[in-house]
Amino acid sequence: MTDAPERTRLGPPTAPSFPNSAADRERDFREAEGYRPRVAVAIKQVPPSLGGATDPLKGFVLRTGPGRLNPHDGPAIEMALRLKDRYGALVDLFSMGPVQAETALKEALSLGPDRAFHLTDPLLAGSDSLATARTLIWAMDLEGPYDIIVSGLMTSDGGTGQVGPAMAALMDFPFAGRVSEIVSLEDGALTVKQLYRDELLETRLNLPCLVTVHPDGFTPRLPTVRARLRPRLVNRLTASDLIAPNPDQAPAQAALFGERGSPTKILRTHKPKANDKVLARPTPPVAASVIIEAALKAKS
Amino acid sequence: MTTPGGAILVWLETEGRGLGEASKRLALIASDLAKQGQLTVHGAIMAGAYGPPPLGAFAGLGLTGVLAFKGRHRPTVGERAAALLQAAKLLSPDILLVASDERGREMAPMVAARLETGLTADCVSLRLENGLMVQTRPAFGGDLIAEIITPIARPQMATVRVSGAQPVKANGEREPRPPWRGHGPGHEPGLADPTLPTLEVLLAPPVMGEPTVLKRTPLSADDDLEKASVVIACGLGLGGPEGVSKAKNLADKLGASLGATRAAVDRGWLPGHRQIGLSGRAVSPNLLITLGVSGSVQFMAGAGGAKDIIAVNADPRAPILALARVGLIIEMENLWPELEDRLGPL
Repeated sequence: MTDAPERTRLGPPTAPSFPNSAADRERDFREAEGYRPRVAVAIKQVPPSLGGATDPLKGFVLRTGPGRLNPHDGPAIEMALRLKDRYGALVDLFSMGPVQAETALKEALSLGPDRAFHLTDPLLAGSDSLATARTLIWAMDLEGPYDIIVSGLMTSDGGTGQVGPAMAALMDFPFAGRVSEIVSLEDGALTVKQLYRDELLETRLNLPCLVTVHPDGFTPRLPTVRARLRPRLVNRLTASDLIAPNPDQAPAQAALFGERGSPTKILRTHKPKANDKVLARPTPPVAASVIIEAALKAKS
Repeated sequence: MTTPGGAILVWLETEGRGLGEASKRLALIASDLAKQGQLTVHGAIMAGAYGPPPLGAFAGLGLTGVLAFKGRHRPTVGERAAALLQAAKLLSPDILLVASDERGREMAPMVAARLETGLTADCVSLRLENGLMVQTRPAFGGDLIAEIITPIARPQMATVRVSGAQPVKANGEREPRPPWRGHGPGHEPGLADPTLPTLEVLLAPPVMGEPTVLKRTPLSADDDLEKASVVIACGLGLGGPEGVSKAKNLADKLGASLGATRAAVDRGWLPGHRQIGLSGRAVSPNLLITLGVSGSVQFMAGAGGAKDIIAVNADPRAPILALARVGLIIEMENLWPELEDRLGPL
């Protein structure tokens, strides 16, 4: 038999939680009339093309050059903006990355979110998915509390898709993955559709909650001229901002930043080896025959 | 360090009244890994409306013990995570493996975050080296292969790519034998079968405030990508929606199913559920015909199960040409008229 049921979601509260004033704030104000739901979107700037250079010693991807917004983040921002259009939500963007990653936030701001926060600090470099999830949460705690946290399904560089669910578990928020449609946001609950390979679920989540977004349902909008002309201010946060609410716990918290706070380590990286086999350069009739005959044989 | 006598915990999923095929593969991968370090393999499973699968379903998988959590029929991702978390706390395993399917990719990060340990996504190979699990995964769309370790935190967690006909190599040398032959749910081995694990049934830990599923709509009636004997995969080399439409007609005429690369899906040429690859579906047809697909490691992670590959690509440097049995270096514009001559308008 198991122990007495714990009256929390996934067990006792997460160990590395550093309470701060924002997160502890009373949430009663949410009942007040005219309350606007608050949405945070976690986004990332990724290298423009695949196969970026890696640090020869540590194996990290060197994020020095220019970048672009992770393709899966467009749909995540789009979902947040639809919450803004339909329910008057306030949308804040959060991104962690090197200084030049600010361009991705500026690009995203031109779509219509309200504020953008850029976490950038050499101390945060080399974060794995757990360290990234923790750091983003601390940043959101500074500016929050948020009712809905939105994340893309995955990034195009690391491609783990782990940061969203990890944040949900660390915050003990109800989680819905692969959201492809917003059904409603009412009575303190968000109802969404979730697109899995084998089924479509309609799911209701009590706020606050965290969702990851399936790109199928949320084709990103184009930036408006007006939004492009607006001053696009990106607020910069550093590691010391994250520590500020709890200075007495600074050493413990700093140990969880970046490479130091990442339980996984890269042992080595390499390029996949190329195979140079002799290949056919067929005439169209030969190519067509090869395809059709192989297909007929495989069907039989 | 992984000490001899430690445990590997694997998350298993039911399928009907039996054990899911991906779970059997995962258990075998774990069992191969266990042999490299004198570890034992334990399973954790959610037992729904039907109760845990019959003991025979676990035979021959190298499992020492199975913890079955009695809970709701179709547990949410959070409920699965809570059960696995409970199992991890009971067993304190050195290694924890979850299949990297859609739900596994969601629940594993929750468990890892709660255990404050490292998690490597979508591993294509695992091995023990100096007592640590070396986790190999492609990154950057397959342009880079990374080997990752979790040196200090425990358990060492990974989601493992198990789908596809070609089982993942656990030790880089031999293929795990097909697990399900003779050990299906219908097969009841005698009680003396030494390969049977012990089964312990526990109550699933309650999770407060889980999302409520209001409605379930089963999908993919039209869609048999995983079971198709011939699959045609569409890549960027098709040039656009027009090329994809021709490919679709070709698939109809040849009785093939249509798949796509992530790049083609990202451009909206085909719906996301058609995507083959690491972040999409894994296919294992008798024949895979790729049209304008470059063949990244990430695509091949979903296509590696194909028994035969014919690759059509105009670019002689496309990696797929080296991976295919037949590589046809030809422009699609030159190929379409010839195919239309044989099969009618596409």
